Amino acid sequence: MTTIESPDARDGGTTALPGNQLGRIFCLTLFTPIRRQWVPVLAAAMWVAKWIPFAQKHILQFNFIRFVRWTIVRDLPHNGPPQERDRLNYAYLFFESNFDGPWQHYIDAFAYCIPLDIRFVWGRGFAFPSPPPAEPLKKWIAMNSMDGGSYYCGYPQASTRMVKGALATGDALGGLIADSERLGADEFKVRYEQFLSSVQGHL
Amino acid sequence: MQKRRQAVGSGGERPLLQRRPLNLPRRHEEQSEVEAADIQGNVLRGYSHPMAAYIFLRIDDVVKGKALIDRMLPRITTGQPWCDTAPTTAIQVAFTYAGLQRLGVPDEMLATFPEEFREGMAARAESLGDRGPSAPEQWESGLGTGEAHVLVTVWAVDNEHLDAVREELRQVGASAGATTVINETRAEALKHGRDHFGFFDGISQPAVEGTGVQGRPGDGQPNGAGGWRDVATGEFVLGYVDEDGTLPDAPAEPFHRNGTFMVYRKLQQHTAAFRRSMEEQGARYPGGAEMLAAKVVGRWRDGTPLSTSPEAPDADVSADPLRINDFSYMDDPKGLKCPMGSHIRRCHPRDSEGFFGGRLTNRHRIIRRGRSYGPVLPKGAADDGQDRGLVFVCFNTSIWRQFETIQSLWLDDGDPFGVGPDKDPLIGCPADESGKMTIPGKPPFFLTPLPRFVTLRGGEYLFQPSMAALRWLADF
Amino acid sequence: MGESRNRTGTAYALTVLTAILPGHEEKLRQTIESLPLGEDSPLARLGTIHTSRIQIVDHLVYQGAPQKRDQLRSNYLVFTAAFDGADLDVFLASIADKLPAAADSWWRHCVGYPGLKDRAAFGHWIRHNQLHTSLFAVASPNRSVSDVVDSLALREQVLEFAIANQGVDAVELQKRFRTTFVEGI
Repeated sequence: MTTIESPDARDGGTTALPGNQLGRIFCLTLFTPIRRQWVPVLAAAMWVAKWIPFAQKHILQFNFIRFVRWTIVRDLPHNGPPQERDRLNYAYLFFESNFDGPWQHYIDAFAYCIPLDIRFVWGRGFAFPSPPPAEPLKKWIAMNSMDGGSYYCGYPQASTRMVKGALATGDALGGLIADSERLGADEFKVRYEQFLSSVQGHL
Repeated sequence: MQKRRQAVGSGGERPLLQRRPLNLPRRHEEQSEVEAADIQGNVLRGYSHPMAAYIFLRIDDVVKGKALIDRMLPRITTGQPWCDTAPTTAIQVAFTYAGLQRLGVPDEMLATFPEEFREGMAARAESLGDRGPSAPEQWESGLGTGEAHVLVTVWAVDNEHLDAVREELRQVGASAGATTVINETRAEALKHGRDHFGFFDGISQPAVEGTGVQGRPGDGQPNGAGGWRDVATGEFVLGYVDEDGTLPDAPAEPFHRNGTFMVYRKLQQHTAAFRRSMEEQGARYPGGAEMLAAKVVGRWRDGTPLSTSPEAPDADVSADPLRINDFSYMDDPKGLKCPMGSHIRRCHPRDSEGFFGGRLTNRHRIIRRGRSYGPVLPKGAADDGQDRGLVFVCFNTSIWRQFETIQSLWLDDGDPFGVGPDKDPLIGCPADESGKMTIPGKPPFFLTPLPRFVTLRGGEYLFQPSMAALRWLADF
Repeated sequence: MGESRNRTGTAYALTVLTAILPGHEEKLRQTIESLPLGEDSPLARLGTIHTSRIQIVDHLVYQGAPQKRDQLRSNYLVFTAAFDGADLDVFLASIADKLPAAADSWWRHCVGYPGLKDRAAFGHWIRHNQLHTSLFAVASPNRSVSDVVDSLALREQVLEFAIANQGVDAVELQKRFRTTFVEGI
């Protein structure tokens, strides 16, 4: 897992790729045991996090994460025969993150910028190498990463920043279109240049 | 059980539930000094010798090749500081993976070298952005084919000394049937430290811990308090603690210590095309041609950083080694002074937005030890078809994490800087001429078309062993 | 209660874990691995999926002592999706309408799959095997796939226009702007 994605992949190429990547977007799925005593604490913290806006921003501050979910799995669903019921020793934490790669840099960001959060969520597992440092954490993730399968994204050639930038540009354009209808040419040019200045970070 | 009792209230002890995980290696005590005599010379300190020859050898006979290495050993320059004056010549030697294989290094040992080194630069061209005229199929002969086994770099104070050593090497290698020279480039520093685009080059080099060389302000990494700190030795030399606080992954003994990985890229610069483009587009750019060129690079020609002086070059800054590299990007998140997509900001983002005060650039520094090659193109002259450019050489302990991150993610793409798929305007290799650079301003200026100004003529990934490892290679 | 945490803004995080029928794993694996990617994927027909992953879990990673090993008695198919509209029933109905063959091709290898003809039964089976999200964070929470795709195209247009009209005089600029963005397609 040491190659950096090729430019073809970034342009949305659809050559056969592992189930972890498409275009610019990567998917990391982990399914790791948590001690049952810890589950209520973790569940409560996650419930609280949903209602605190700061928590969402804290998670997303890196600007390269698009969709991320944590799911505490207490028991595996059972559908009757021929499925035998699975009784696991532990609860499991299902984690799926969709982000701009490569995954190693993603983990560096977590390890160096929000190590406490990482330790809080995964530290009560087993043999979890608490960051920092980042390298043992990456080895742990490589070991646990669920690979394979098929991955889909509705806009794989765009990164999180590109998406946000495009949305912001589209939002600002509405006002400019309205102005083009009511302003004289010289005034419009001023407005147009103001518009470009405000969205230049996205162009 | 011991730990449980100690845990609470012991100040500094790990909290109750956190036992040391079994797979977390213990941190090694930091080395207070580097073993300068065992590290080859030009890694931790640059040479001032203006002339250099980069000689790629193919090993024709393994036994004789090892004997040649053995004979060269006493001539190889180590990192020990020179007492009085610099020697008139210096020699370093490095090996490609193919070279180590050819010498007969056992498979189990070869397997401990990192993947990107084993694959070689040519195999990774796509992800590095080496496309079109820069693709391996177009490279100079001898590079990227697996034939290049050994790189001997010779430094000299003048041509006479350089020629003498080259001749010696050629004779010893060829007459004994040990090796054949398959590619060679001769380099000579241009006046005033300029490069072929007319810019003062090589200003920013990492300040490295333990070298005894004092870094200048701005050379290290931001220290979080508005100042600078040295970069961990292990980012550049194996066997020392790196920025992660652990020993970097290293190949097996004897290669595990005091060695480093080397990246060689011969970058041909299209001086006439660059000048023409800056003139033509500079005529449309409100700041003029010189400012346009500065926006592309991130510094004025004399080295003044745009971040320090965005309106004009400042001789007080460029003449002062303590100021020429002392700047931050924190007050310039929109790139109005130094564009996010400019060359130096891409190569070394420092504390740019998104890099968390430098915490996400710590592990992506490289030491550059290149030299310009080829004759100067006089100002105003038309393209003379001569080969000129930069022999780019850098050292790092992880080619993937350091060099390749810069090349593939920061130069061949722009998303980390919010500029999407835009490639580096100075050395990027666009697929066609539809590339552009957005130069922030009120309003912004779109620099397009953006022709290719640099072509890669060939490159290799190499391992530069310690003196101990070289002795082992000569003898095993 | 579980339902609300599957949603953030207008996006819904669906995670479904279904046991694979004994002996069916190999065929299912081949089916998944040969699914077309990107625009050619059957999932693209919905136009409402941001991301989705379909994969097989056939073992649980052993972290080392002192963990006790957990062995799975079945293999499981994991189907995840982050989709628009925050209504699971609408989403499941659109799967049944627009990609019935594809959905059958992977879920028919799973225990208890009732097929798609009986929508209620299908919905019931999915919900039975659904793992409710504990925390779901989204970079742009109230934007649909169409919003994103349209904005990306619009941004391209804006950039193209900006480049082509650098330095153009005010009257001409306004005229061209209106042609491109107001009267244009």
